[in-house]
Amino acid sequence: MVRRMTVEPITKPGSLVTRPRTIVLGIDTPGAPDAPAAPAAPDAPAARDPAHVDSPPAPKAEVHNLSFYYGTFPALKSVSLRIATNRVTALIGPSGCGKSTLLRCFNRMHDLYPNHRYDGRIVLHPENVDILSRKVDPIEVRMRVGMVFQKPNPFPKSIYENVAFGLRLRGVRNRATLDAKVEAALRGAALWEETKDRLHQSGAAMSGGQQQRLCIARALATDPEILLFDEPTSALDPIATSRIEELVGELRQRVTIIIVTHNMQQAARVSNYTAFMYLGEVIEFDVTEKMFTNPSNKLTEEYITGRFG
Amino acid sequence: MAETKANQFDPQTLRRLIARRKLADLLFAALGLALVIAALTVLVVLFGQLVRDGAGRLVSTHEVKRDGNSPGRRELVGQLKRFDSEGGPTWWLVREPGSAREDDPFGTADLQLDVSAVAGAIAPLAGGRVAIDVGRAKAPPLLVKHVEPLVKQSFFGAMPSRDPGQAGIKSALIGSVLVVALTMLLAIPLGVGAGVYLEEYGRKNWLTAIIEINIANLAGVPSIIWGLMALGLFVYQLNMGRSVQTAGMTLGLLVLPIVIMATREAIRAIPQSIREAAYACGASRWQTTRYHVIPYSMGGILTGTIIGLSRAIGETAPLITIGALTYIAFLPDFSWSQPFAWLQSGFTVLPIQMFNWISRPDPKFHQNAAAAGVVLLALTLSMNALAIWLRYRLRRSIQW
Repeated sequence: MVRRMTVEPITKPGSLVTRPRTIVLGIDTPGAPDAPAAPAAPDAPAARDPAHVDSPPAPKAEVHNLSFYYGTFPALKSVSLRIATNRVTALIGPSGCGKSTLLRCFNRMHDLYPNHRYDGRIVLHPENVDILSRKVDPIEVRMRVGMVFQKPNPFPKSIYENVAFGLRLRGVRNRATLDAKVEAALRGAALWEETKDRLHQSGAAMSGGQQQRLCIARALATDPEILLFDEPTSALDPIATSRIEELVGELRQRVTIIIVTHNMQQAARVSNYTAFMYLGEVIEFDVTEKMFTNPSNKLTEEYITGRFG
Repeated sequence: MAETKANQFDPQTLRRLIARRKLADLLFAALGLALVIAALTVLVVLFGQLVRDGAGRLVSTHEVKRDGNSPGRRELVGQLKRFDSEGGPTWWLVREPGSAREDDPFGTADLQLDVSAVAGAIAPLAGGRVAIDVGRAKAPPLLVKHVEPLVKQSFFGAMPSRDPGQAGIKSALIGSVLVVALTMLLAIPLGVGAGVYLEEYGRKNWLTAIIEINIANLAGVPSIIWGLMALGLFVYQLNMGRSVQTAGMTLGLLVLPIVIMATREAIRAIPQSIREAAYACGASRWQTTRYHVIPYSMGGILTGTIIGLSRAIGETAPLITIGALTYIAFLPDFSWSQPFAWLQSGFTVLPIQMFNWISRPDPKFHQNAAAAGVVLLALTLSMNALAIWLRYRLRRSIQW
């Protein structure tokens, strides 16, 4: 379900609160027609998202009292979150608030660097396994949890090899299987039409937006259970940004997504749930709709209205 | 600056300031250009001198018998000619003034030969240049006991000799190639492995810091120190002899720190984001290293390694220290039944051969030294050119 979406520059941050509907457009209501796109009345939340249905979706992962230390510096302080299955959870907050740190806990990226310490648990459902446990291999975690980075970082190899890398790591040798999965992943990342004739050219020769979609395809190829996005559009122009956002909207039907963003409009547009973080703590965590229209915390309101941050 | 803060930015002052800065630019550019030209001039003069002295010997050839030896004292050299007359064919040896020796009793006169003893062997040699053995015969027709055709041999194909006109660099060139090949075989796997380990696997602690400092220091150790160490360890302790293997290991150790440092530099140039991308796909450390880190840094690794090897090929001091011979008129042993016998063979290398020649009084040997110098320089330059080409080829395909 691809719909066109306009990205509004943040000229009046306050407008977010006053007319959230225009911003939230475009990610949901499957089957809605193009263009003017059914501006649902603000008082009809059910039209927007299943998150508003009384029974919330089952959690895919739960963060319990997670603290994280770089050396002795506490970057996260007793964070608790519930990540809903096949929904988009956005992490917002000012620079240095710990949102990327939290995101990188989900695939144990911190394990690559010395002097870190996890304290607390991230429980991955349905097995109820604590992915921060020393007994759990970070490689296994990363094979189940994919990640897309802030700056597009395709390997300096061909488009095909970029997407096939994760599959090859899993021992897929069969050429036909590889071809099929690469095509599926590229289609999933809305990149197939542009690249089907040049699969064996370098991924580095593409535009920034295409590179980022290639990175999404690379992550999608191995059917991750959770997909982490670390400010995926901060290095992209508005058109490329809107395509990525569309893509996130489509992907959440198949995969649980956690997205870190600096752009509050983006969080409002693409996410079902939003966590506002400040100084390593989750200040408020709620349905996106409510966060942007009626935040319960004063700090959240000040942040999303642009008074600080 | 005489201007006060108030009028600092009026247009006239600005223009004056710009003019001054432009002048500084111009001066620096001119200075740089002059330095580059001076450096090139020195290079051209040095290389030109070497080529001027050595070119003659590089292209000249001399005659040797089929077995590679030059004609002996009692052998006569000349062109074999056959004349057919009524009484049957007669054979003559036609000699030119240049080829006669002082102690030759026959001077430069053409000599009639009696070829009855070698009748079968001599027919196909008619018209060619030969060396003949006439024993003690004093008057024509000389009875030929033995005849050998002469072939031309170049500077590259000849062994060293006490006759400067017949001395060549065959043993030195092959020795150099063997020693450098062994050096490469030892230094590249060890150096690249160590560099990759230190960058990708080793934890950053005081131990790796000490290792790092040590490697940087080892790269700067004077080469003769390596020679002394190799003499003590390889030659005396391990009894490896003054052989190709000792030389290869010595130069391998000498080049090792250079290879390690080149590898580390090349690996450090890979953005961390690429590693994170690989890890995020679920790669293990070895998979990340094997499929990403090493391939992407290959250009830099090869460049640094080849430059290290081109240093090794010109090293003299450590090889003299371990006792490389200066006069080797044989090639390292080789047979298929003992494919590694050459490792234990005595050897010489180009720089040592040059050193040997230049220390002789006969200026003709100095020409040989210059010619060998041209060869050595050409080898070094072509290795560097290979490094540049490889870097170009490998880096073109990799863009971040």
